Amino acid sequence: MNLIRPDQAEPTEFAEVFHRYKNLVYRAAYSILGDSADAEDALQEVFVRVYDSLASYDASRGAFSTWLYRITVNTCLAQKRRKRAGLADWSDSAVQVSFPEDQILESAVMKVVIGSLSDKLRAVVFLRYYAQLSYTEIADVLDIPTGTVQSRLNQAMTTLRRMLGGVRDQTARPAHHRQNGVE
Amino acid sequence: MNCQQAQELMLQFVEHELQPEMSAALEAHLATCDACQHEAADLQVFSTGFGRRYRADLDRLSAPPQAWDALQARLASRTAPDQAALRPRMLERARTPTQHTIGTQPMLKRSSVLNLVAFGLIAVLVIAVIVALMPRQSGGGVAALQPTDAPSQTPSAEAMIITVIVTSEQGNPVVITATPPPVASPFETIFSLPGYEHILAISPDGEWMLVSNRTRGGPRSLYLARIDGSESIPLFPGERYYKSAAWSPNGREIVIEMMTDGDNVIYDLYSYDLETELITQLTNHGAYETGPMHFDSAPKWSPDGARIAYISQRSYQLHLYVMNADGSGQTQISGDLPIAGSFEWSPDGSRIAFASYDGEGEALLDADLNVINADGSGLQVLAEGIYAMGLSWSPDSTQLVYAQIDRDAVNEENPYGTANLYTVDVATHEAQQLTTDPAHDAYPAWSPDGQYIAFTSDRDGDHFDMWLIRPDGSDLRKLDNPVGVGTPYPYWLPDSQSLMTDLLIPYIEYLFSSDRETDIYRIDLADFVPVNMEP
Repeated sequence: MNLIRPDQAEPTEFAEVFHRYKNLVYRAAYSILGDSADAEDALQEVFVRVYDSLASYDASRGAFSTWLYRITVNTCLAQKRRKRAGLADWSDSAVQVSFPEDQILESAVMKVVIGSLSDKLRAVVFLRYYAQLSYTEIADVLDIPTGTVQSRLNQAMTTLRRMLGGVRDQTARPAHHRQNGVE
Repeated sequence: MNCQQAQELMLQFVEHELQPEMSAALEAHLATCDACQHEAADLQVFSTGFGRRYRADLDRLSAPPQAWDALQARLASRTAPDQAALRPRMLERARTPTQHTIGTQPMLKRSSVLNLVAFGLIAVLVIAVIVALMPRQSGGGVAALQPTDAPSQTPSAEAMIITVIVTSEQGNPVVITATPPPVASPFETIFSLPGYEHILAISPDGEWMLVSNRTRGGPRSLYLARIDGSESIPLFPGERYYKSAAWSPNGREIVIEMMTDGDNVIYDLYSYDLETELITQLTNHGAYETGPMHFDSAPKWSPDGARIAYISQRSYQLHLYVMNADGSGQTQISGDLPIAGSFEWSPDGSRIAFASYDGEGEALLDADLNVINADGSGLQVLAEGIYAMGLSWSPDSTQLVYAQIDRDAVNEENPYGTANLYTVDVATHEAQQLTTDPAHDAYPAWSPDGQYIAFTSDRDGDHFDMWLIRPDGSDLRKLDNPVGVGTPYPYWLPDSQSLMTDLLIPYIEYLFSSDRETDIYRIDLADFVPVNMEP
């Protein structure tokens, strides 16, 4: 008995896709939405969409991870828009992000990212510094020009440096290794 | 380049994302500007340090443990028909998980009881409706009906009749009778555990089978089970997933498709020596490339036991491979022609039949039937537009049976057409239609003695039963699928007198019925009921 699907995932694979990527999606959602309950909602929604469209995923048009990141970011940003609907003065770069009592993350880095960046900036920060995508790949995921990725990252890093002035990695190489010091 | 321009490119520069020519221009500026040089150094330290801390923070987060169950519930709560409409019936069948149970409780009894209980509930509902429709009394109250007797069953010539006698408040007896669903079937449950069970392989002597069991969302566990269900041995306990397997012709080894690394969804083939209990990895897929699904899959031993044919999926390309039984000499034999589904060694070991996909239409529904020599030479196309799942050789290696899709039969009920069985002469390429019913006939399996072809069909209702037909089209026989769901898949035992079967559950069923179970059943040739065919 062969149950091999050339171009579509059988159910066991949907489960496998889920278990393989659930943490990645959850972390992306958390880092964009800044709230564990919202992240959990987004995780569900992302995989409902994955379930519906796994069959239409076309490998020739890009890596699976790119496709998944795109769904995740779009889902999170749409969720944010829905929540914001009716709040006309709610600035895109608003700092009003809830910090639930059960917050797992107490790190200054995460708090500042969530508290000081808009959701769009949080999305590029996630794709760059967690997913470690290139600027071109981020442009592909978000369907925006590379120049926009560059300006968003510049904006994000300027803010973060201001807020996290003291954040230094003790193990980082001295400054004069700039040609090859980035690991 | 001035300092402001340099600042704009600085982050990209320290992250090695800047185009080379821009990078050179920026470096030229840095060589002359101490301030920008310091800024670049600082930014680089910050970027690196931030990235590291940010990743470490996020890595501490995990998706909530209940997320999978919640997702299942959410998918199940959606309206099923919309989803079902998207998926052709044949595809659903092929999409099902590969698994099956060790049990002492025969499915027959259990389903009988369940059906009766279900029928009882229906009867109660009927009563409720009658109550609701009864004229209201002057007092405005609804007449209450109380069953005066427990439901009674009366055997009749045609079928069992359930009679429920209820009494209205006025004391008028109301008699409700109905016929319960038929439950009698000779399907004998051989192996039953919670969840789904599937047959992965049957030993050449027909004494043992390799069975996988799976509960929803869990790993698949593997059992060696006696064909009569009297004994079962768990194999390789642990968090592993198994998809397919084959038993060596000498009975000593099994080759298993197994996923050992849950983080990387990669299946490789392993051989397991049943005497020494040594496991040897035969194929090694390496890291995944473009997607989450990579397989070396569906191994099949050549009849002489020297080679193993299998499907390899790399970067979403499926190809037919042959290797020596020790894993050496892995060779892609079908050239660039992708394999679409089933393949089978001819019983004489000279050739392999396989379904290929040329990229037109649906891979599973528009496949071509090919034969090829085991060394990759002599490729011939025998038929086009076939269903890619389920091919079977006649024991003398002269004919193949397969399911051909009839696209002319496309209508609302059959958006992808119907399927009938055909046989084709491998030498002359002459095809002969074996079944004509406008239904879905699939998964043909030629009996080892050549007398019958077993197949599955939904021609007699909305679910799939097991059927038999002679290779010349005569002597059609039927055996009801007692569970009423799923697709029974035929596996002949060597004596040609009985078959093992498991049930493929359509994807939609699988997702929308969390408590659904399937078992492994045995059926005897003698239990099939002859069907009068149209003259």
